[in-house]
Amino acid sequence: MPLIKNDRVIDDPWLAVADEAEIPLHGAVLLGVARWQAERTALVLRNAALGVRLDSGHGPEDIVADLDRLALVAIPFPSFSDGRPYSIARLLRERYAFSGELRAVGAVLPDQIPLMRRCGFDSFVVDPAIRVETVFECLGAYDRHHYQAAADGVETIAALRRRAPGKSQTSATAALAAELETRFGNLPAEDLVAQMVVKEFKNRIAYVSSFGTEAAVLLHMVALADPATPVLFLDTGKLFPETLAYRDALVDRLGLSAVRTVTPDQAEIAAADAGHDLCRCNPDLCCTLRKVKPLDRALTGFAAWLNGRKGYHGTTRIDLSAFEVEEDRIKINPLRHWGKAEVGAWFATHHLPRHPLEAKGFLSIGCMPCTDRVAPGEDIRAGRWRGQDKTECGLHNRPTGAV
Amino acid sequence: MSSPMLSQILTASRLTDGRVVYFTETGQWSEQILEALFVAGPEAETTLLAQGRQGVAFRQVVDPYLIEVVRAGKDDPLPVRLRERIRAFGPTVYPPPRALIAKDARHVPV
Amino acid sequence: MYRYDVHDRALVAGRVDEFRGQVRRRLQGELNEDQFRPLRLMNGVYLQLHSYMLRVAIPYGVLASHQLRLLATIAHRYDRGLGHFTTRQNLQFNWIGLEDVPDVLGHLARVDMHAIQTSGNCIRNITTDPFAGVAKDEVEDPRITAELLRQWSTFHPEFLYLPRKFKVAVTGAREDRAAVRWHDIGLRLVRDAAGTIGYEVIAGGGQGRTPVIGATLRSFLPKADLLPYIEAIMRLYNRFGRRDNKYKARIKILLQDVGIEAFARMVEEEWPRVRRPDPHLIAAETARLVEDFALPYRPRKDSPVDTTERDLAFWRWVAANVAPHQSADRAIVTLPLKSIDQGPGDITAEKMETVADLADRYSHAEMRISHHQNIVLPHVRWTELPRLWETLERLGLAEPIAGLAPDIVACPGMDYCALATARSIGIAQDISKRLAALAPPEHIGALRLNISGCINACGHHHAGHIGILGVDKRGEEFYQITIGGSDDYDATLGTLIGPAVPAARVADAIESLVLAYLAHRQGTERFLETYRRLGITPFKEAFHAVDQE
Repeated sequence: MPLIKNDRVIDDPWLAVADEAEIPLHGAVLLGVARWQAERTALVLRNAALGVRLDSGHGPEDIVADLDRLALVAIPFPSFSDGRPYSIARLLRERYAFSGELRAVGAVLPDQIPLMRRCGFDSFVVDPAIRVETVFECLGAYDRHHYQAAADGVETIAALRRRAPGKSQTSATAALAAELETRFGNLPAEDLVAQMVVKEFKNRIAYVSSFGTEAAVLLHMVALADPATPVLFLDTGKLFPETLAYRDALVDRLGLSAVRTVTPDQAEIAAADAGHDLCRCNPDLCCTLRKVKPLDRALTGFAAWLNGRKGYHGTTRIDLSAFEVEEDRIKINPLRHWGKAEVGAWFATHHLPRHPLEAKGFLSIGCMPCTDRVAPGEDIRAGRWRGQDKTECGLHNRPTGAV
Repeated sequence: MSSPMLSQILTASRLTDGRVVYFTETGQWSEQILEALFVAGPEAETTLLAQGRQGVAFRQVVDPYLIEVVRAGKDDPLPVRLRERIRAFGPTVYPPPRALIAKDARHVPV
Repeated sequence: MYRYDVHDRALVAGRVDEFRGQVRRRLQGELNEDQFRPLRLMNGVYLQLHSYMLRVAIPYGVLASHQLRLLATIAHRYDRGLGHFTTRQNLQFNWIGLEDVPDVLGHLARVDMHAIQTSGNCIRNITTDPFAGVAKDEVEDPRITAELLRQWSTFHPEFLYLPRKFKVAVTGAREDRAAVRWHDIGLRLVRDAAGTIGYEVIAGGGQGRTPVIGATLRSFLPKADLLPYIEAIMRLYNRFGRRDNKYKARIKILLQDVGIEAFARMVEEEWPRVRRPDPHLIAAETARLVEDFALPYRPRKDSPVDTTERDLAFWRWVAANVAPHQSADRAIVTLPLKSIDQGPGDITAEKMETVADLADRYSHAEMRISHHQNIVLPHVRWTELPRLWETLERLGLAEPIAGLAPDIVACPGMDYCALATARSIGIAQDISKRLAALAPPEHIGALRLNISGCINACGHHHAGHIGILGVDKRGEEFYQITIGGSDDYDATLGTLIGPAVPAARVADAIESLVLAYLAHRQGTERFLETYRRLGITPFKEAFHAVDQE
């Protein structure tokens, strides 16, 4: 019968002596517990290593007083499905601090050896019919992931989690985005916003808003979820005064308590736009300095941000998924499936105020110099950078062209 | 038509997929109860059971045992016990799961 | 709901690889069936009547829509397009090939699911209130405890080969929707006189051939002591539970042999000596779980007022299938899986996909599976109820029967199960049809009918207000009928009403009992209350009148 110890097959240095057989004068012997108890006095005087087989029906209590005299305790498994030896082994190791060899004998399936090891066994006698390779394959399956502490002293999963706090969720941002898409990609917008704000990214998420014509929808959803959610408002310094007034009205109406106005770096603007015509001669650079870079600075520390892009806003925005990754941050598009009708219905149902410029034909509103009215039948964003190739400011499709 | 007579057939579960199988005249294991080998008498039963043990040893089947069947009509075997009829012909719940109709319904005796 | 992290995933992935190796060794002949059986059972694989059966764990009945979609895919690709929700909040596939199991487990692992410890003599899926975390009558969300116990019990090296299976249920509500007195260990979150939350520990309950109602082992256990206390119970059971006779191997027999007081003393002696998990780790883990199980929205105190006039059918549905929620603007909606042409708890792959879509649309992508074999949507807005109801009506999932007579609980019975001695699904269908013809379900009122196809009592017949047990009498299916069982806190064991009846007479017999109740009930009395007031006599008389016909 192969004996396995320390991940090796070894010759058994112990002589197992049957209950009625004579005990040799020298050498290590393994005896049944009944015989040990009966002949204890004589055996103690014998000057050689002594092992006891704790036969079925016996417990650690039968040998605790003598544990320091024993170099080996063998515990037989009466069948593969008899789990008593697991408890006995743990008691011997953990409660009675037995430090000798603890040997599993009897019905030992190689698949069970990892469990036995966790309970304190350190040698195993397996059926000769079992291939040694199989035994080592099973031992290899003894990985480092255990929920509960046992006699092997392996660090528990709870301890591993504690050592690497914050890394407990899927570590890579891309993988996290994919997982969120699977879990929550089909949630209705309002639920998705709540799920993200209240739960998934609690205190680590912001909503970036221009306070444009449709912004009230998502602002309202954010306010319903948690009015203390940070709302980042990009003030490029070139906005319509109506937009600023609308912002104040909405913030008040929705009870948003953490609106932060994000402004461009004045030194950068002074250097690049001394003539106040950057928006005309290099609109991409203008957007970069007035929107993209300020937003990047403002998003520092946030793991995710919500935005209001919709699939119907021009051909560039049709195939949006709910979750994207940008700059190692999750970007969430709750309204990606929304159309004009849904937006209109939300405004109506919840009696939200409209942007004052909307009635004047401005359907998508950015900075004053680069926003035009939209004619009936035109794409909603047709009034943005009219007469130029430019369709996006760069917040959502970076990097843009010449800087 | 002869009157129904009782005989034994050997059944088991196929190791790989657990499907109900019967030991056939050609010494194979078949999903078709129609192909089952009938025997009668203790000697023949012992021989058949030995075939079952061999099926286990060859890793073809699990848990072989004999069942009693009535031979009716054109010798179509009908298990005596309801449990074995359900094993042979599938669940009795109406309607049976979709794929069951294709797979098992063709054995249902008329 | 609980979210796996890299460690949980690594653990499950490791077990999939391990089982793949075990299946290979079995198919190559390195393992014989006797050696393989405990290994496959540990992974939820049974050999059933028609094929292998795979029981997938749904920890404490909490299921996400993407998980249900994957279950639908598995049903399509590896099974016959059908799944069965069990009385222990799990899901079974009936026609899985052994060769396919490792792949199926691999797919499950991708959505953080597995079949670990859904069978075998180990600590099984921890069950709880399907309304956990949203129930209005809750002391504390029991899922936090259930998840702590799930982790502690998963591959606990000491307790995988117990004398017999071991079932634990937790509840945190005033109303017991988890049948804690019918479990090997039942935990009830309670407050002590000072208002501190802890557990009432109930032990030794169980059904099977020796039904026993669990007794209170300790009326208040501080929360911090839970794991050492439970570990002590498990260790005593593992060491001293009977292993010579599988019918006497459950902990209830040990408790009867030793006596509940003596056993409680043994536990008291043992548990202070059990090694305690690091309290900081438990606290950190608990904090994580509290966050995981928190509502995905802010609960509200004000409910919207809906003045729209609605169908009576809508209100019947609301009355039966809609339960109050912690957040005043939301409701808990039960989708009964009791359509008359399918077995209780059965669900097709197509329906799984549809329900997953509904969960996305109405319930934050979250569902619960109840031990009454229904699906629960826990987060539905009141304002969306009419629209949800219309959709459910179309799908046949709006039968207004939750908790009423047609909401029958049944095991798969002899149509699927190798242990069964009689069929149960057909009986459930017969009774449903008969009672439907008798009176509207809300007229009959709260009535639990439970059917088991054999003495193992997976249909929980002992706990049914009316319990039905299928037995084999010389090759014929007969059914024993009990009355007065209950799975509430005041759990009672059903009493046999008379001799077993043949399958064809079961519906008659049940009808006679229902008619006797309707004749005797006072006011709004429920079936069980009438029975408890009058005792068995009037029911026995009604039953015998049918029996003599």
